[in-house]
Amino acid sequence: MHWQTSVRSLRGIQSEPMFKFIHAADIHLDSPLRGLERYEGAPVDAIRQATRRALENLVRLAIQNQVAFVLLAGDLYDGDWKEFRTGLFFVSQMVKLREAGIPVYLIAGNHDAANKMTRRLPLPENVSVFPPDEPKTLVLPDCDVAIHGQSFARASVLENLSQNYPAADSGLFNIGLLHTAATGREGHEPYAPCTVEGLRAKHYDYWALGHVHKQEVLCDDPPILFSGNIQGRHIRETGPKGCVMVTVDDRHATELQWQWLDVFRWEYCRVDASSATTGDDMLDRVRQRLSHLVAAADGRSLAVRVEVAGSCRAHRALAAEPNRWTNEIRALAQDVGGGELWIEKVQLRTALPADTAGQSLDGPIGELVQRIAELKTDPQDLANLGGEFSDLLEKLPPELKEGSESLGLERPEKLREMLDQVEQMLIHQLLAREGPP
Amino acid sequence: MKILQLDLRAFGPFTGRSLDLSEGDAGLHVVYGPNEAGKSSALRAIEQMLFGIPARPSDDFIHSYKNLRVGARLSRASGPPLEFLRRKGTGNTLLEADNETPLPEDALRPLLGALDRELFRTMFGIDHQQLIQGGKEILHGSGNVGQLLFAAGAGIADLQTVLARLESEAEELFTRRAHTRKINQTLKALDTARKRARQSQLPGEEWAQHDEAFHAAKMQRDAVQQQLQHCQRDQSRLSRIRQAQPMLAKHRELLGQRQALGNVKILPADFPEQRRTAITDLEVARNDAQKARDELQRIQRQLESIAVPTALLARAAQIRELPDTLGSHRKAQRDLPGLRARRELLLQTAAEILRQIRPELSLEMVEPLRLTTLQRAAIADLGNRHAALVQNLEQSQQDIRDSREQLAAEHSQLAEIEAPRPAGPLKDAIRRVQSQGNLQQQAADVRAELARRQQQAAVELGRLPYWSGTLEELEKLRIPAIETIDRFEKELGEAEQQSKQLSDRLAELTDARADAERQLDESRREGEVPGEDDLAAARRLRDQGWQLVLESWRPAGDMPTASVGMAPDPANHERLAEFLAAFAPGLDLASAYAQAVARADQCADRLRREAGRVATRAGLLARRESLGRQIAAITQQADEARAAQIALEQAWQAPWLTVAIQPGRPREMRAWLQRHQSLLEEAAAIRVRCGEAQRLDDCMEAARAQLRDALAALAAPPADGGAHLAAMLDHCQAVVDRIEASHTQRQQLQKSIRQLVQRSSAAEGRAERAAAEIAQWRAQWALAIEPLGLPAETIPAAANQVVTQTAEMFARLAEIRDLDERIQAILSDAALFQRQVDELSAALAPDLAGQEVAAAAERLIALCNQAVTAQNEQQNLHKQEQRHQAALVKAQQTIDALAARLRTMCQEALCQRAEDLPEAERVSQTACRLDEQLAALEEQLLDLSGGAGIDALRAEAETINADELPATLEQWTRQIEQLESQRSQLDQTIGEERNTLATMLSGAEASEAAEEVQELLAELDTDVRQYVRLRMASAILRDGIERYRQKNEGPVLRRASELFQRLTLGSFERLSADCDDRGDKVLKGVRPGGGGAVDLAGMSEGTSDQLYLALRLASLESYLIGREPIPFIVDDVLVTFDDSRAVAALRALGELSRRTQIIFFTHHQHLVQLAGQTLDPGVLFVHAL
Repeated sequence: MHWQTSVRSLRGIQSEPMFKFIHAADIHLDSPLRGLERYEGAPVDAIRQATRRALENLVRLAIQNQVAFVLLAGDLYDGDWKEFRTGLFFVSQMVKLREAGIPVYLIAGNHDAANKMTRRLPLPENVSVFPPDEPKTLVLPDCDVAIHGQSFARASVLENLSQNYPAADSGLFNIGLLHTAATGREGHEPYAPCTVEGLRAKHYDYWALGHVHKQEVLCDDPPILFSGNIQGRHIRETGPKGCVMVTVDDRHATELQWQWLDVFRWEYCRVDASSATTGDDMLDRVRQRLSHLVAAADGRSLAVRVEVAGSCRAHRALAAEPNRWTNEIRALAQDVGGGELWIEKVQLRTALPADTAGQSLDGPIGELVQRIAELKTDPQDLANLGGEFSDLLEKLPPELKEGSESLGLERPEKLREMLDQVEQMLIHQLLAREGPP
Repeated sequence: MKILQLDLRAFGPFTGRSLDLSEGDAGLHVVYGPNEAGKSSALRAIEQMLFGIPARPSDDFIHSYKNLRVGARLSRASGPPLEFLRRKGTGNTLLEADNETPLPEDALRPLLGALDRELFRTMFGIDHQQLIQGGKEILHGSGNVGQLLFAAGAGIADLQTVLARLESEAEELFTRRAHTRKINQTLKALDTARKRARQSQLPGEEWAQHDEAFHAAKMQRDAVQQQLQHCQRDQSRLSRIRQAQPMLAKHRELLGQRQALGNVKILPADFPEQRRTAITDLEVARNDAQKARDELQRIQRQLESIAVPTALLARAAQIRELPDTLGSHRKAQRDLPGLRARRELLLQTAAEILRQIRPELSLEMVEPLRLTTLQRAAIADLGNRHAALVQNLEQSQQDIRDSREQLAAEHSQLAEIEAPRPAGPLKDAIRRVQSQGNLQQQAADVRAELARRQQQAAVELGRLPYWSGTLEELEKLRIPAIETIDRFEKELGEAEQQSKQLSDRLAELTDARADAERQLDESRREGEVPGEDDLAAARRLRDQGWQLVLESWRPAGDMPTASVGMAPDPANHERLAEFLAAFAPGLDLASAYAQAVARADQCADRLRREAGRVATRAGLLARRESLGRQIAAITQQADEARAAQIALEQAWQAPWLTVAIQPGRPREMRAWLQRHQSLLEEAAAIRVRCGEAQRLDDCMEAARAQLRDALAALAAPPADGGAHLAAMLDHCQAVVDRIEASHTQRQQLQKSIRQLVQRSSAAEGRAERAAAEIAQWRAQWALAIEPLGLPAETIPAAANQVVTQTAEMFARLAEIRDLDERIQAILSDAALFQRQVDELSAALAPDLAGQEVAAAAERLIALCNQAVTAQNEQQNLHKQEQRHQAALVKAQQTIDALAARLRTMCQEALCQRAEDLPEAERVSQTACRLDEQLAALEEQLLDLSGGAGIDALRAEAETINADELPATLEQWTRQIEQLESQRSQLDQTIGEERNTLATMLSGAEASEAAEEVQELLAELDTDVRQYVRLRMASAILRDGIERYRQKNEGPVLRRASELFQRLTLGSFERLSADCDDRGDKVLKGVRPGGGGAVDLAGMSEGTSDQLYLALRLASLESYLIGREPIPFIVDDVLVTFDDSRAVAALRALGELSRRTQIIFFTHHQHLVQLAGQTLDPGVLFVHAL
């Protein structure tokens, strides 16, 4: 097992380390990976139960480093997930920590509060859950630590929970365990809002935050940070994922180390296709970028979204046959990634080069081009065009209709984007044929 | 834009070629090129000149990829013409005409506008294939005006196909109602996966239920287990007691017996043994004491009888030395005379020697003659060397003499050897002859084989049948080829075969006929069988009779006569007689007729009754007849076959007869031919051998000549016999050997002489050195022998002799000195011995005084020995006495100890006397045995008490009734069994629940289904996007077509209608566009003179092609209005037009060429001619490739 480590030392250690602990959050156990279309040669086995594997990595890390305790800052499960096995798997991992003599302190997040399963689950005695009705402080006499925390009572908690957290107990190492959106984060519900100033005012030595899936350090002194989730689940959760290992010395100074736990990583592959004259030119560039990503993944399987942009002569060929080029890139990924690379999606966003873009065509083809240009500018016209496939829209599941990654066929900007492809597709279909003999 | 000049500088088959297309306003430029002239390359050149050379060009077969160049001079609406070259590459592909200066990549953009390669190719190019495709689309399409105009306007030949494809691809993805479309299927799969995810989720309740059941069962099991342990404990206790009861009884009994014995003194186990041993030992000790006392008395008596002389013993040491001294005294007295005689002899010998060497000296004066060891060695050494030096000198002188003699001898030998002659040429001649092998033997072999073969050939020839003559004649015969023989063999064989088959067949048939005859005979012998003929005859006879009867009845006319037998007319009478004759004589008509009827009936009856035989007979008759016919036919065939065979045989014999051979059968002749062939081969072989023999003779003669010449050159005698080559070779070889031998001998002699001369001079040198060495030796020698007083010339042998004798003399003198010393010593020893003996005798045995010294000494020795013996005996007796006294003391001590021991034992066993001890021992043993038995029992009982002690056990056992015990135990066993079964059931329940829980935990179906949902959603996303694109494309295309129609319908259709009328030579008057049932505008052709409108689908293929061309030309004309012209490239489109329609089309192109340049490529000369005849020279320009 390889651990990628990036060291962020906030206050350098001057004294002997006293103890270590792990801060993790947003396990979202058994939450499926999203947006991966199955195709021949995709690494289908790599995504199976990825969140479970990541949790196993967390437990192994804790045991190997003999940490004093583990903090989980909420959201162990998905809210609407009733599979009891998921909970039992969590319990089995906690039992491993119990056998290694490592206690776990956790708070319920919005997802956990919504989940009925949580209530019935018999947690082992090394796991302590903070109550939902008011903040509670647990003191660990062995290492002079006080942990303050409060669980979510229901899915939607909009008041500032941290406000009621007690003041720091001087002489102890004070840790605040909080599930919060802080001052609000894009793509996250604004639950239990708080500010850095508010948190600092408590004079704690460390704030372990959960809820926001992206790692983020809000404050260096004292450390106030989101550890992010431990396994990315879709293309908006890119890059390495894991937890923070905190080393505390006898003067309460801390050293922070990111530890990557994810088994399957999400990455963007943005390729500039400017001046590519053919599709093969574009493929060469994609290959180069993909190779870099594979090299950086440290042996993990990857899901990559390929985004090709730029003005180029290859635009016509690319836009005319998006499916063909998607398949070409998938084949390329097979080659580059040795079966460990999953092309999540290919977005071809190229444009015509400036010298041809301005010219207007005459004749029948010109008529088509003009028609498409009109469609792009006339919302009513565009809406009418949407009627062409309304029969399909009503049958589509909500996942495809909602959210930033959805088709968005009701949204004009999405349709306009597609019209570019349609234009080139039409020209290609009408004019492409073998050259003169 | 117009192409003024096309530069095919390095492109396809062209090098430095250019086409001048500048003539005319725009002009119809017909470019004619027969096949292989490069028409296709020129076509591609125009496109690549304008839009670039592709990455994988097809025109680099002469000029390499890098060197491809195509250029043009183009006229522009504004400014001077643009001249440039295009090269292959990804950038900077435009160059100025100097082929160096780069032009900007977009230099052509003002001329081309938004036009790209594809659009140019479709809109401004037309080829034969496109024309046909366009015509087909018109024929098979709906005639939709919008689509026709759109397609012709853009130059698209397959618009309908594109439309259909867009729609069908969309439909393959999704239709509202279908279930088999891809998206529909995915939606369904999505539903299923969601359901599965939901259903396979393990609810917490279920798990909790089983978890609870598991724990409950575990607790229950623990309770049962506890109960079971309790029962088992009780059962065990009772069974112990049951076991202990008999043992307790036994214990009580033994205890009684032991108490009866009372207080017993327990003796050790070995007590009786100890007692018996003590008594025995006591008796032994008493015996020993008595024996010792007896011995002491006997020793005392012996001691008293012994006396010892002590004075003698006091000097015994001195006396014991006497015997030795006496021995040496006696020996010295014996030796003394001998020693004195020897001294005298030695003195005389020494004096003798001295006399020999130096008679002038006496023995007292010899000391100066004594030589040192060094001097002696020097004399010896010089003496030894002398002989070697002398011999050396003599040997050298001898060598000189020998060498000189040998030299003289060898010189004379050399003079005798013959003069050298060159043997080379003769050797060469011999080698050449030998290199040809043994010619003589070869010739003999060849001749022998020749003779053998000739003889063999003669024999073979004699044995060759059918022909006689010589071998040479045989060779000249023209014999038929083996193939001819094969053919005749085959044909004759077949003919014979056929004859044989025919004769076999004939025999078969004849047999069959005979068989049929025989069967007929047999049948006849069995009885005549009536045949159909017989029946017919009988009936005829009957009818005849009846006729006669009728006639006899009939009156004169046609009435029958009244009675029979009245015969009126003679003819009748004759017939009657004839009729009656068939019967026995004497019958009248009536009887005869009755018989005739009877016969016919009889015959018919028999025919019926014997139908089988009748049929057989009929069959046999028919068979005989058929066989007869077949025999005739086969006989004829056999005759023909025979004739053919004869002809064939004649044909076979004919070629042989011309060479006077009466041939046998072909097979024989094939064998003959083989023998003939082998004879021919033999003849050829004989000829070869003859030639070989002759050649060998020639070779031999040449060899002999060579050898003779070589011999003559050496002036050697020629060989005798002369003719025989082998003898001649031997002779020549002998000559060569001789020459070579004398040569070798001479060389050896010369070498030997050289060696002898060398040896002689070496020997002389040695002789000189030897003489010098001798002179030196002499000087040394004189010096060495000088101390001996010898003259210098004394030879070494003499000097040596003197040295030896001198040494001997000094040896004698030394020996004499030794002898003198010994005699002196003997005399002084004898005097000492006498004094000792005298002194001892005087002290110890005065009677010996005056006796001879040796006798006195011996007497003293004897006395001393006697005294010693007596002393020894006395000492021995004293020792025995001491030993017996010690034994006596020891025996007494033992006796005392044993008596004390027995007294102690009595005390221990509480007895007065030792005799009472055995009884005490018996009582003690009995008590011991009882104690042991009790201890063993108590041990067992203690075990059974389970640690509680024997008393407790006894108390417990007494509380339990022994009779009830088995029943109670049985009851416990049953209860234990019951509990065990209960426990086992609970174990099972626990196991089941544990398994259930484990199974619940192990599955991952729900999460996998959730993962599948996500995958399906992703797949759906892709497909929906594609579907949307296709549907949008389809809608936009239809929209575009309609809009284009609205804008262009009027002018384009008018012009197309006119062109179509001309291109079809008036076969159609015009085109019309009317709405169909659905309101779509549909194009139709209108026949002239009110002939009505014709659907496009009803037109001929040629007409539809012309319609497509009309629409294309009309669209192009319409497009060009108000726009920069673009050249129109036409590739051989008129090949399927007949001449008149081709002329019409050329005229239309000519008209178009006033608006834009037209470049018309063709392979067809007649089209060029047609154009020339049809078009104005100001319009048409012809170029040949």
